[in-house]
Amino acid sequence: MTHFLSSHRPGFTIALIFTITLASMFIFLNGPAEGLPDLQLSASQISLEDGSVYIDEMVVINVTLINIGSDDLYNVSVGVYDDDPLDGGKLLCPEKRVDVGHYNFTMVNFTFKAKDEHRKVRTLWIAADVENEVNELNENNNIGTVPLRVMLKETIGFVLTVVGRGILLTFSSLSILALVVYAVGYVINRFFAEKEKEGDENEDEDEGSGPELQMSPVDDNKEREEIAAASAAVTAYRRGV
Amino acid sequence: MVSDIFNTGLTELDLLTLIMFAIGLLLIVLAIVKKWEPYELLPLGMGIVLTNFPLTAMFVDVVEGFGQPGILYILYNYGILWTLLPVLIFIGLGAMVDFGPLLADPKLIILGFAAQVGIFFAFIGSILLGFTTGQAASIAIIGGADGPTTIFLTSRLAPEILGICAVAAYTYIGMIPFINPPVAKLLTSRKERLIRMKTNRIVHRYERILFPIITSFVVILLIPQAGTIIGCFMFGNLIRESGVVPRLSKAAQNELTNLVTMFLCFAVGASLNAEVIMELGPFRVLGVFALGIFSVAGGAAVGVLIAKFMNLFLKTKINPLIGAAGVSAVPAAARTAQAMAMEEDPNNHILMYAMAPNVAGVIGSAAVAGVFLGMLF
Repeated sequence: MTHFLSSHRPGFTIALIFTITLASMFIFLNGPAEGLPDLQLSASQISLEDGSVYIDEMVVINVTLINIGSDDLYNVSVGVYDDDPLDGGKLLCPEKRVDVGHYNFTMVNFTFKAKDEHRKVRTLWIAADVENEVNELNENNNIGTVPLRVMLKETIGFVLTVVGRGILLTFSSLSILALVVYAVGYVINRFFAEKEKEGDENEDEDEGSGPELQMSPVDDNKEREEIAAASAAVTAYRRGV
Repeated sequence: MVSDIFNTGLTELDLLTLIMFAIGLLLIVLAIVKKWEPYELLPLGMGIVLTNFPLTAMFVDVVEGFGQPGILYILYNYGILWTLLPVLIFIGLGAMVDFGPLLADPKLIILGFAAQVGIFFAFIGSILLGFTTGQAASIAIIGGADGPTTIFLTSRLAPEILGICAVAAYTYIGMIPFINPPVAKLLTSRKERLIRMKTNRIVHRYERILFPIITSFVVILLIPQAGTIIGCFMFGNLIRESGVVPRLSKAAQNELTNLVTMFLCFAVGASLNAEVIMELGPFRVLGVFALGIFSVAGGAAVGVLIAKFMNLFLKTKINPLIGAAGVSAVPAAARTAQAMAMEEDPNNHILMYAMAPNVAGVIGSAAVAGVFLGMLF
């Protein structure tokens, strides 16, 4: 190994020695963080036994709390909230208090009944030490979230409500769309039809005013041919050719 | 000794994996030989094959020892579960769709709605068979015959059956020429199939430009949850009809749609691994396919029946075959209606008229997806 480093990769060896020296100096001068705990909680440490539950079923949340600090944690509060606890979120079940040894972890679980007000997809917020009772190395790693879906049971009434409301909403929205499209199309076509009519009338008046505006027989024939070709193309297009 | 340091996949093969290989290869064969929706079924089939190779960890969230997710999982997670790819598809679809025939005869929008009623029948059927509401809605939306809408809705409501629903949707879109004709023939007389429709009026350019804007306002205000799909769909159409961004229009119709479709179907296929099928069970998988075809056929049937019903009140009759085109498989459903009409009378061209309910069906199925999302998500 020594032979390899010294003979084949002198640049690499120098860089390695430099890095090791620098890292050693850093640790020596700063030393490991001492005396403070650090509770870590993030989304990856939270799991639901079932991510989709029906109303009135129990929601079970398992949380793993890790203390990455060098001091023990005692009596830390942990709770489940319906929104960000720092922004008015309310507790969904009673808080729990836990102890976590230094460089150690503790598992805690919460259960609460899913209610109608929780229906659809909700984000649950799990937070530790919200009141900031414990002095930690890092106070910004104590909150994690997990999505929960609360569904209505497939009762006959519920299914019929979905079907009935679905048909009504789809029908009404598309009918209104058809009416609006019809009305807008009518107005636009009328507007341009009148403009064309005015244009034709002006043309008739201009035709009578002087012979210089009249088309030559050659131009007239050419225009007729072009119109005939365009009509044929439109007909072919309409016929899906 | 060698087996300790180098594992082959051969020892890990089991019956279910082989069945999944067969399904993937079948889709590839259907795409290449039968040319059934090849742009979708080819990547879908290859995705299924690749994800089922043992020991590759391509569809694993975090690979043990490496701490990195597999490439297929990355595509699935960020493309499908974040609903990015299905939504992007709608921009391309919007750029491809010509609403001209619909604008020429707006009452045909109703047929686009009617064909969605089959979705609600399939929804009830799925509930009765024991699926959850989310799964039932995802299975039922297959009847809209719109792949991206099915993927969009299922990824939100029932991601566990996403792969199955997508395969069923694209398979049935490919089978529209076989599903619609017997349904339409059963419900119409020869006399009705011979009806010739009146020539449509010319649609002004301003109507075409205003349509996506008006539709966005009407549909999204009434069904906010359909906003994502309708918004992107109409944005794509505005790109097309505005006429001022031809390069964007071309790119959305071709490059964007092709690339997104490839990644979308590849990722959906990758989600269909043996473990997922094991969890669902063979009866549920078959149930999804059975209810899916029921939903598509039901949609076509209601479309035809509503067209017949409209004829009771209309002076100028419409050919009820175009009602079956309300299932939104664009343009397969319209072409099928055209083929049926020409079977009876070779000079009866109803393609342009059938395109109206066909494109209205895309709006209709997106609206129904929004309704389901609003009530169930």
